[in-house]
Amino acid sequence: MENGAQDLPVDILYIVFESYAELDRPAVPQSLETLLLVCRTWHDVASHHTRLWSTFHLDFQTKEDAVYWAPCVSRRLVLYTANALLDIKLTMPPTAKHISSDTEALKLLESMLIAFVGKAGVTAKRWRTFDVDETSASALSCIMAGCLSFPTPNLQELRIDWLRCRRMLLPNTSALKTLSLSKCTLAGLPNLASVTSLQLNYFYVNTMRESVEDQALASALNVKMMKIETWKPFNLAAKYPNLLSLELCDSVHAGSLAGFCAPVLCDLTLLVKAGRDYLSVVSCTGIRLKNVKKVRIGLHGQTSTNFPDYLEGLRQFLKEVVNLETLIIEQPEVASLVLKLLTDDCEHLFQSHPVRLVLKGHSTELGRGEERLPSINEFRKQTKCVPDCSWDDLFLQLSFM
Amino acid sequence: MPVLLVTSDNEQFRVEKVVAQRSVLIKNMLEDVGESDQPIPLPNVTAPVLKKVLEYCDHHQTDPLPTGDEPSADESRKRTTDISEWDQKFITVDQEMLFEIILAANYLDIKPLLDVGCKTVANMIKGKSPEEIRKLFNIVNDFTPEEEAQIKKENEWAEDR
Repeated sequence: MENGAQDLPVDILYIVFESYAELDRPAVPQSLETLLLVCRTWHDVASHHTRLWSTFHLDFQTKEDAVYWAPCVSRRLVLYTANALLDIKLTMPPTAKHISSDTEALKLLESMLIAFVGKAGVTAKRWRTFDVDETSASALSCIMAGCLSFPTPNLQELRIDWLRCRRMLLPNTSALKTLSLSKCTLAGLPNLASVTSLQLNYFYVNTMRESVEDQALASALNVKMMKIETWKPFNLAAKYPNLLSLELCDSVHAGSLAGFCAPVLCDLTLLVKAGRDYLSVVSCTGIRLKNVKKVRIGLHGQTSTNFPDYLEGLRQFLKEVVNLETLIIEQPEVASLVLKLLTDDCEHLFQSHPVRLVLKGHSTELGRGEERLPSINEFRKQTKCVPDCSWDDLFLQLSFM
Repeated sequence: MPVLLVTSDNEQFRVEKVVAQRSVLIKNMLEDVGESDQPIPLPNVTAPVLKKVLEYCDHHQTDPLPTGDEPSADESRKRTTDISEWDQKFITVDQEMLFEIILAANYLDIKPLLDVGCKTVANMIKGKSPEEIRKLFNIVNDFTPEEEAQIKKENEWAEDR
C-alpha cells in the first residue's frame, strides 16, 4: 500500500474539502484558507472549487462568530467567488439572541449582510439561495428590508422566518423556485411566476388596500406544492393549474377558498382546529376532492378541541374524498374518530379499492366488507387508539387524552 | 445468491449478492451479465482492502441506497455531518488503509463509504496548520518561497488568527 493524501484524485479532494468546510468555525484556526497553503495541488483544487467559497452557511452562537465571519465574508466574496452564484444561510439559535444587543457584534453582522448585498446590490444579483432564520432576521431587522430591495435575478430559493416591512421587496425574482416566508408582514409577495414550492406561515400583507391582498398569489401559476398556515382569513383566490399538493394549517376560513381552483390537486393536508375548517374545504368548488389520492389530517397545535364539532367536519370531508388511496393521520385522537367513523356511518366508504391507513409509523390496509372491523380493531391495538365504544364514551376518553 | 469477487492480488471472496450490490459498480456489472457464475474481477482493489470494504457493506446491507440525484447545496452540506458510532470504529485504521478504503469506495462507487472516509480525513485536518497537515500526510511543500509568501499575503486576515 502506497497511497497517501497527495495521491487522492481531485474529485475526492473536493469531497474532503467540502467536509472540512462544514467545520469552518472560529474554533478552527485559519479555516478554509489553510487548505491553500498546504501544497500546489491542494491550493489549486481548493481555489478552483468555487462552491467551497460561495456557500456561506453561517451559524452565530457567540459574538466570536460575528467577529470571525464579518471580515471573512468580505474577503472571500472578493478573492474566491468571482462571479459564482452564492448560497447564503444565516442561523442564530434563540439562546444567542443576546448577540443582537451587543452593539459591536450587531455592527459586524450588519456589515456582513451589507457585504452580501454589495454596492448598489451588485452582489445580491449573485444570490442563488438566501435563508435567514427567525433570530437572525430579527437581529438584522433594521437593515434587512433595505438589503432585500435590490434585483435578485438568480435567486432560486428564499426563506425568511421573520420580517416586517411596509414596502415591496425583491423587485426581480424571475428565477425563484422555492419561497418560504414565516411570520412576515410585507407590502406584498415577490413575483411568483416561476415558483413551484410556496410556503407561507403566518404571512400577512401590510397594506390598507385590500385589492393588493386579493392579488397576492395570482401570479403563482407554476406552483406545485403550497403550504398556507394562518389563523386569519387569507385570500387564496386564483387558478393554480399545476398545484399537486396543498397543505392548509391552523384555520381555513370559508372566504379564503372562494375563487380558489386547483384542477389537478391530488395530495391534501389539513392540520386544523375545528370541524368548520374541513367544511370550508368541502364547500370549495375549485378542489375536486374525488380526485384526491393522498390525505393527511390532524389537529393543529396544542389547543383544546371540541371533538363532536371536529367530527362533524371530518365526517363530511371523508365522504367526499371517496377515491383516496392513502390516509395519514397525525394524532391518535383524530385516528380514533376516523376509525370509529369507518365502522359506523361511513362504513360504506372505501369498499371498492385498497386504502392505506398510516399513523405514527404504523401502517395497515383498511379491510373491506367483513374484514373492515377486524382490520380496524387490529390497527387500534397497534396504535393505542381508543377501542371500539359508543360515541359518548369516545368523546369522554378523548377529552382525557 | 452468492457472488464471487476477485481482487488484484488474485484472492477470491464469495459474498451475498445483497452485500456486493452496495457497490454500484458491482450492481451494474451483475445487471449486465445477468444470472451467471462468472467471477467479477476487481483489478483496483487488494484483498485486505476488499475485506474491509465488504465488512462495511455487510453492516449497511439494509440501508436505503442513495439516489443518483445531484444533491442541492443544502443537502450536500447536510451530508457532511457526524459519523455514526459504528462507522467511526470501522474507519479507525492506519492512514494508508484509510486512503486505500477511500480509493476503493470511489472505484466501487459506494458513496456512503466514500463520505465516511472523506469526513474522517477532514476531521484529521481540523485545527491543524498547513505545516502540521503536511507532516500528518507526508505532503511535500512544493511552493517556491515567493509563492508561499504571496498566498500568505492574500490571506493575511486568516493567517493572523
